[in-house]
Amino acid sequence: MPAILSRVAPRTFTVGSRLMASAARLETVPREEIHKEYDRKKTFYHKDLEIHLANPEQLKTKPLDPTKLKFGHTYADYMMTCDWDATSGWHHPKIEPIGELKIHPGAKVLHYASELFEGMKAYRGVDNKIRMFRPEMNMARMKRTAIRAALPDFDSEEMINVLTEMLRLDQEWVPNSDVCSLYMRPTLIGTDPTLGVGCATEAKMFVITGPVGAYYSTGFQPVSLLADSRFIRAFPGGVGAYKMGCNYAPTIWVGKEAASKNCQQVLWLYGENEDLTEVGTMNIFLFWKNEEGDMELITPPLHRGLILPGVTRDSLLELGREWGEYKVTERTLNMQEVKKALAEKRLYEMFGSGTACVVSPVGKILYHNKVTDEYEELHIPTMSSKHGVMQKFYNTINDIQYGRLIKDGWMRDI
Amino acid sequence: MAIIPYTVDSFTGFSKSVVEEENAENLVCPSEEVESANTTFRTHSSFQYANLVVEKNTKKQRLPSDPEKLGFGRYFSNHMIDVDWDAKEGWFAPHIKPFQNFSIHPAAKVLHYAQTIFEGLKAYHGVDGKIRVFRPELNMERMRRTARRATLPDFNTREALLLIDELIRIDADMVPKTDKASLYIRPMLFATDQHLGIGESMQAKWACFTAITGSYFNYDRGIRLLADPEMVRSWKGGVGQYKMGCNYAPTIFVGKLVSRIMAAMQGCDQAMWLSGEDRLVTEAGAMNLFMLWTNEENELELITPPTDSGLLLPGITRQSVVELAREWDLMKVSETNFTMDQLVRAVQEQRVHEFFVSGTAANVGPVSEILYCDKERGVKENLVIPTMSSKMQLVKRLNKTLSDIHYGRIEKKEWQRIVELN
Repeated sequence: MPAILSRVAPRTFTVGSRLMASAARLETVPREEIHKEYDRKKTFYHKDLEIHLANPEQLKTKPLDPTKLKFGHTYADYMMTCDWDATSGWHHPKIEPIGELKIHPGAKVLHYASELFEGMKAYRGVDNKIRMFRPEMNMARMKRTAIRAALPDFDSEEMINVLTEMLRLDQEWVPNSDVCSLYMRPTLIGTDPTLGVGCATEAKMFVITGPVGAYYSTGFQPVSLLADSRFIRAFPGGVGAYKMGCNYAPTIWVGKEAASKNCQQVLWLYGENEDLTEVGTMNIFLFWKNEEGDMELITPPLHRGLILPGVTRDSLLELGREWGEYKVTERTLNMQEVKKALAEKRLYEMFGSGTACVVSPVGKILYHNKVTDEYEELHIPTMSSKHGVMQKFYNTINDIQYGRLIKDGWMRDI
Repeated sequence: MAIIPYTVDSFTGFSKSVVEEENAENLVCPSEEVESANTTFRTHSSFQYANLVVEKNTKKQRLPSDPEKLGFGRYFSNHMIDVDWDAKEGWFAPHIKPFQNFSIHPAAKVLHYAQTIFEGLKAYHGVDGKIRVFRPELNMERMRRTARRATLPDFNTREALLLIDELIRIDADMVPKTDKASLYIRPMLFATDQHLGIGESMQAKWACFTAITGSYFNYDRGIRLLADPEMVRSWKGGVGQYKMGCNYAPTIFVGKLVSRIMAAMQGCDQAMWLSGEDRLVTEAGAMNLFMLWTNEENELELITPPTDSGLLLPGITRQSVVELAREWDLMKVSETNFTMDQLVRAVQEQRVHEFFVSGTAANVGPVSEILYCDKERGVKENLVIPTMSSKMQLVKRLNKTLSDIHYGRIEKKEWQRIVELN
């Protein structure tokens, strides 16, 4: 046991530090969040958490150079699981060594895509402290998604406290580098074996984490996008605004189509006017001089339910508005406007935003013109922009995430 | 909070619905043979029936003798088919093994990005004691089309059918000996790749199990549908015409809403899916739909929405109903779109004679009422359809004919795949 404890920071297990940690949390948590009746129908509880420690052989060797790690290829030692059933509610959450899940062949997740997830990150700051970036935003979205997916709801703070516990155990997996991070993947699946399409009566929450390397190891790489309105990602009355697994499966084939045309991502268009909605699995931003001559940062609005409300999207909007250097607008934007602005040299930057990369510059759009049925190449001058809007966002978010810059309420210390 | 140090037993199972895995010792073939089968017979184009390895389950479940008590999907088969694929090696040797839980890595793509597809078909115990599967080749071909769209590996229809035959043969006593129930067959194919990047899966699993099914709906009252254009199932440019898992998840919540809205009424509640500004009628629940009416040109017509719109699933029962109706030649049979406006007008003018849904689970089921709620247009009306009292009795006749074909009371060879028993 001592060998294990030395690996996982024994301090974690003493009551004193635990109380201090929760006391520190009380200051940031709204009061009504704290005093709630114990009800396992509504949520699982951090205080019920069972930690099953790994034996030494189960602990994996950490990669030597975390900057080279590809996304989603390496996992940390522990995972969290918590079962739910309709009769008794949530069971005790568990943290245990990562291992395969036993899933009934008839489980809803395997047939009807009864599943949803989140993507979030923990960073080791320059002061060696570990922080999560706006986890309450991810949890709020996960709860919204759970309702839409007819899967059980839970309490955000309880979940964040459990995630914190996981990070304490796997703290050595949070890379000591300001270009790397520990990606966290909370997932909720329907597990009951029933052949009828209906509400899940059993479900499982689980979380796996894994270190990810530098997204831009050799500086920004502009991406090429395939824009073809014959493919859609989301539609009104659908679930495009939720992080349900079902939004992703249909995009894989389209992504392959894009790759066959030398495009790395798909620019998802919607409707008759070919409105821009998302890029790959990221939100999209455009910096231009609008027709009235104002410098303006634009991203499509959320109200039609076609767009995932990204945490990075929200953060960029907030920063942009705070800086007040240009107009910040959420409005619908279509391909004709983009083409016109390009022709008039009013379009300076276009970039995606997401947890994986913060920002991703767009260099080219391969646009399928539905009238002529021909492809047009549109060059986007993001990389040669003198305005540096994207670059400033990237630097600022990075500084906040790695503790070089304080932004109140955005980082959660572990 | 409890911290449990590592002990041998501390790493326990997960799901409540875990099936006991106690059959490992009941291998029919020696384990060495299993291993050699695993390494020798890898094929790229498809798995091969010839490479099949069978592990028999020595335990048998006790089933209720009363067919009424079998329920829908309550009893799973004793065996299942399990075939692995990876991009480098191709298909591994197929296994038939005791029904058991899958072991799936928590990062497997199926659990995150819904990379899963499935099929549903049925085997029937005929009046002559033969077991028949209804048009399984159509299911396998649809599954292959779906696999392509879902970027999952292709396989050979014939090999898949031979495997399914074998599974039914091994579990032959699970096929209910009654014409009130059947054995539901559920082939599935999903991505098992353990990498979280969104993309084509380098590993996949093809599996198939069966479950006993009684009747899905009670047809005495007819089915009631709720048509609300705010509930959308599919869209042009999407995957509505493929049997991908992702088409179903968003409908679960809608189904919940439907039952809440229609709680006041009794009967089977399903959403009727409309599409677009024209309010095109597309599907109901997870079923296709048909209308027998006197159309605007005063012709008697059986109409069902076409599949080329990409908005609806090309059902096997749908296709069979269209083919039977064309064979009978009693009315015009059209695969044409119709709108809610047309439907409402026809109901008002008493030109709608029958309205019904079709699907493997439901067969054909009569619809008695459609509640049409359209907030945008300020419409809320209940359309009463006289399906149950129709003089033409098309639903009844279709149900009887399909059932006769299922249970071998009439012969239609090309629709009946007979599973030869040992």
